[in-house]
Amino acid sequence: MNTIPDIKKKRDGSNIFFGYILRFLVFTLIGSVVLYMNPFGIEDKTDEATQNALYKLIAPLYETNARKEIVIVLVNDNAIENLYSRHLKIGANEWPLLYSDHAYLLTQIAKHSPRAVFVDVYFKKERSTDDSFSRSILKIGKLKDKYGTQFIFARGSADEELTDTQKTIDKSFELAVNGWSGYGNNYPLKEAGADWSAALRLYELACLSESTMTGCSENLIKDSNVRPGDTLSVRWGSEPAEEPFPEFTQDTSLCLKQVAWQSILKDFFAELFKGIINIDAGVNKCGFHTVLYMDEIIELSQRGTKAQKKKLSVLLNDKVVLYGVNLKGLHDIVISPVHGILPGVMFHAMALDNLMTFGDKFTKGTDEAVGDISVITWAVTVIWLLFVQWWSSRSGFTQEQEKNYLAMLLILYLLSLGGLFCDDFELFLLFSISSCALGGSVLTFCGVDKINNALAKLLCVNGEPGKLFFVTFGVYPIMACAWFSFACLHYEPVNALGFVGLGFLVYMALGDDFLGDKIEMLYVLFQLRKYQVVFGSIILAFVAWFYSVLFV
Amino acid sequence: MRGRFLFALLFSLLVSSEALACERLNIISFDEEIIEVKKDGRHGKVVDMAIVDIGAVPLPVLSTDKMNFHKIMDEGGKELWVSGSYVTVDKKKVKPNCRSVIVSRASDNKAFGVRGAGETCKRK
Repeated sequence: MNTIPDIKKKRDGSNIFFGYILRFLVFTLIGSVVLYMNPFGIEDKTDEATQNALYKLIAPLYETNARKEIVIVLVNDNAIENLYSRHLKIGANEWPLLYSDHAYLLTQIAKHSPRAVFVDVYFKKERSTDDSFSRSILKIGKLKDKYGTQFIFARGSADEELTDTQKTIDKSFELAVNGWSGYGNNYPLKEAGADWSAALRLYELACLSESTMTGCSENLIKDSNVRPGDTLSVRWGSEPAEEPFPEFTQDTSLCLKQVAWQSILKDFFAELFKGIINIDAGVNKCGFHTVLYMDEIIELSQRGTKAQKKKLSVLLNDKVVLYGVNLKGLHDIVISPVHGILPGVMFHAMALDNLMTFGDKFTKGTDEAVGDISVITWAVTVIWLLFVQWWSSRSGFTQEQEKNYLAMLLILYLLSLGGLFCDDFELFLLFSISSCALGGSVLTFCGVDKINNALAKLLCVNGEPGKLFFVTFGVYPIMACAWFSFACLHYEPVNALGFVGLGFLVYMALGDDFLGDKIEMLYVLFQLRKYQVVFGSIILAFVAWFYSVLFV
Repeated sequence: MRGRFLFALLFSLLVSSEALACERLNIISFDEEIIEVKKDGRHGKVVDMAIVDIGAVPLPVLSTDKMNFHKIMDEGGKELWVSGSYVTVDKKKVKPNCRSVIVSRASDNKAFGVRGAGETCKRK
């Protein structure tokens, strides 16, 4: 029986090469299985955490062009109280409002001729305690004709069967999907069966009608850009909207604008030291879009000055209005990585804003393609790591410069893979230049300045790249691929690769023989031949893939 | 003499506080050409009615029900209940509106219960 030392002795040059091929197959297989298996949901959770952290960091950079076209009108506890007791305008003193109350409130909005109003209140069944439904539908129908406003009502989820009440609404207006399950934090744009979600329908009215709103991106989303099942990964902006009527508000200083880079720095350190100092705890934030409360609109319409009335009209005229509620004890909420808990209607508003701002380059939620990209990029990552490992294990290098150039070429090669397909080239270029500079510098330190440079001492061992070098440069291709996927392919940021990569890096940090010995143990225990191991790995990979496709 | 003065003072205070509590309202304008009214009493059916058939403003509000319908007498002296949604009344006690700019809550804010369900339930 062969022992491990015996096997090691027998290894010649071709065996070493074969060993690297074997490692490539094993590592790629392990990574792929982990990516598809999503063990204990860890991958989903780490993806979500990565995404939230990144979205929060880049939120100050979110463009604000589209938001001037979007207004959120909220009905909250205070508004109901004011409208009922102070203004004597509505018949209900508590939620739910009467149908006639909604009709009245929508009338007050429609008077300013908004382009579209999305009613994010779900009318599923006519209440037996309120006989004003038919009358209200007729009244809102007249508004549509009189003011040219398109009314869209919440439909619920796409797979729900429409009730008679909903059919009545659908006949006079239209319904848009506003509920779903199975999409995580993403916003589905078009459900199977071609039902459009609220945000996409509003986008169509805002950007694809005869008069395109000025806030729409030039890269318009065409029908062919969105397939059933496509989702939007909603990015949030953090710059608070200007208060339209500061005379009606308190604490206006809370919504002051911050310089973007200061905001990013603050959030970066807040996230970095979250476990130690949670500076965000208990801090409530101002919304990204202009919010008007329903009682405010009535007050301004009834008792406002001429200037206030004009301002209100400008705010609502030819805009997309989202009418929703924000009431304690009703769980119509969304959790924003930037703001915390917000009224659910703001999710539709932000999704619409994303579509208007980015056009057909909106950030897509993960789909099957992302899984394939992840596996391919993981394979590239493995090649890169094995190359570095092989390189460091070689001895007898006499031309230090050759190493530097080789590394630089490899880095450039990896970057160019992304650059070829990247539309947001400026972002990618920034990342590429800094990465190249880092890579080149480290290798130069290792090769040239062996003794005196502190960084070289840290990263290099006897003039060769050390373990820390592996960790640093092992992370590099993962980051490059993740960034490429986000900035260039416009997919939501995921860190599944990081999850797998870190496992691999741990191995790398432990030492060359940690897994190598285990693989060679297989030879000893099972008297395997090399081709058997290769074929076994390939078959195992296929089994894992079929399993994931069929059952996961 | 002092007793009379005290009585007069107390009486005047009583009258003025009652006047404040029962603020007399008037409809000073109609917001639409056609408004919602109940012709057949407080519990009657709501129908649309042209404002020209109601009468000229100001119209004194005789009473207001829980649904904010105002009871008035039309030109012919007939009782009408007019929806508060489409009229403006001369309500004087209007405090200035003042609301917070904050719309968010902390992401770990929780509420275990649904509005309108079990609010008045008591444990046995």
